[in-house]
Amino acid sequence: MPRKISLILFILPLVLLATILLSLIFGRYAMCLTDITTTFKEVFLSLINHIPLNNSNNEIVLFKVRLPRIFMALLCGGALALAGHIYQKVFKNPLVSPDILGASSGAGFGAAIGVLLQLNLIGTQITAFFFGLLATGLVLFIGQVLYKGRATVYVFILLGLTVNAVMNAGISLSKYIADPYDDLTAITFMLMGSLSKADWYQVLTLLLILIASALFLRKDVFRIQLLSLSDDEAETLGVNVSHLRTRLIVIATLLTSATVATCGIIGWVGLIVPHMVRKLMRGHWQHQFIITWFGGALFLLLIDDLARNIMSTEVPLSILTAVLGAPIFLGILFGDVRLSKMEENK
Amino acid sequence: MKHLIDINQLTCGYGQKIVLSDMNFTVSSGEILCILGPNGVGKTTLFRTILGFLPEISGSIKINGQNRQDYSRSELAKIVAYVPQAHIPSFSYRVEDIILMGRISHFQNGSKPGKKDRQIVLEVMERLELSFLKNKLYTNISGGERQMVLIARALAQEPLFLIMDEPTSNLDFGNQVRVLEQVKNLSAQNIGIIMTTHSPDHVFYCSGDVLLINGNKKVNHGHVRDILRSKDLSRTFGIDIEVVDIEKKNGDRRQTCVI
Repeated sequence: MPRKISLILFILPLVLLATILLSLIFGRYAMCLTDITTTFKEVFLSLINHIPLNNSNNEIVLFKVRLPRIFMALLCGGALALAGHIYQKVFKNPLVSPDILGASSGAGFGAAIGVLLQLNLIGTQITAFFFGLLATGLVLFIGQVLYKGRATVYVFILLGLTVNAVMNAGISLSKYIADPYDDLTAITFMLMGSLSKADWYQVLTLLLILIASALFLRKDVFRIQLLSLSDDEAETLGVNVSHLRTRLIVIATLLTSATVATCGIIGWVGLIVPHMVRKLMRGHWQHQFIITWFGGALFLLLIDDLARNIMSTEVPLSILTAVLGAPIFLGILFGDVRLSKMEENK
Repeated sequence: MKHLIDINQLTCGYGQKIVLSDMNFTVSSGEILCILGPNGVGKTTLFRTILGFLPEISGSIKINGQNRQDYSRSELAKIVAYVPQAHIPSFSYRVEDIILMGRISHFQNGSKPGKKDRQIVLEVMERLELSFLKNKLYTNISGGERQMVLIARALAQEPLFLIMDEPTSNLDFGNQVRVLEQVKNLSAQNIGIIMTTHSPDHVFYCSGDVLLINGNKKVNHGHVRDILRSKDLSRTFGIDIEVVDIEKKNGDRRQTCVI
């Protein structure tokens, strides 16, 4: 393993751990480090000795609010960054984000339907999840049928555009017919993205999906790099491109739909984090999945800390990611020699 | 051992649209077959058919006696390597890793390169005198270097045959000759080579077999001496071309095109 990668794998988890600690301390309800350690100790002891928890304020804030929320930030941020990384490689384009094939808008529409049907939180999450999969499934299916497995990335991007448009129309329609005092607000908040509804059940669901994806991705960390070449090249090197591409799209869609279903649409993470990670890794590919996951987790945790703390009310995540993401992205764009080279070659 | 690519009565094209028909030729270990012809005559179509990206309309492509369709992608990658024209990928990689990609069909555990794969990459780089590029980014090196890296990647596949798509296009004169030297070297190491080119002089330099495809799709196949004559070349490219015999200062005889 290159020294640079070892260094990244050593430092990134340390930074993440420090950020987690800070995220536990900061918030509306003030806690100091000793509060946190004593609460952890109490809960630990009562769990060992089978004594019922005493439900102190500290305990509730820590275990029912902050910890699940931190975990959700880590899981969602990581999942979105990972999905973005996969989509960018699959579409041979560093400017692609996880919503390119309709996963986000589909899941958003599903969530809106859930709200309109007065489903409970779990029901809404399930409809969101399946609509996300449905939207991307539709893109893959049409691509397969029309082009018999030979669809190029451009075909997929155009089909994604089409499905995205239809799903967004669905969202608009849901908003239009929603009860403006109740459902409309719920839908609007859902679409702006928030971690405020985080609980252990969501953490567990996302964790399971992430573990499943990791198991499927385990063998692809090098193979996915070959998708950056032309399809013909990758095939002659011995890769079954359309098979690999479909499998990767399914995994990335699973990750995206799961995050949108639980936390709403959080933009930009899947676009800029893989970009920053690549900058950091500078041409290396080793452990790229893991490093990208760490990057996304760290990024969204920091964003969520800001969302909780900068104003007296919570700021929706998508607003913050856009406000911070746009300048970062522009910086990358202007500083990127390769992109300007690509322009020259045209 | 002699290995053989045998093209028999091959008709290729897109769907029902026939581009080239009734092609017959063979390439065996250590031979160089150059394909020469004007733009748009179907050289790329022929390549894509041999590599299996286009289904053949009729006829057969046999590699060591077995139909091409009966090979899986990864089996084929160990026999036939493809050297495309160099272009810049959308993500940057180190030169070493680009060459390592040639090893993927050989990976022992199917997913990650092993010690042996890295060793072979280093050997190939040494063989083509590319070791100085090892840690450079593929996106930052020159066009000529990039073409050599792609040849190195193909060699890392440890193939029996190389299929090269205009390996000299976009290169300056020195680099063109350097690539051609390597092509001759590789054929001397018993690799069979099929390559397209736009320059008759390159075909003379390789002095092997040639497939001359006319604008009217008539195919002439044979040794370069018998095929590349003034009349045939003039007709193929639609300009006056004279093939002359010259003697170099060191006494070597060589043919070349004069316009």
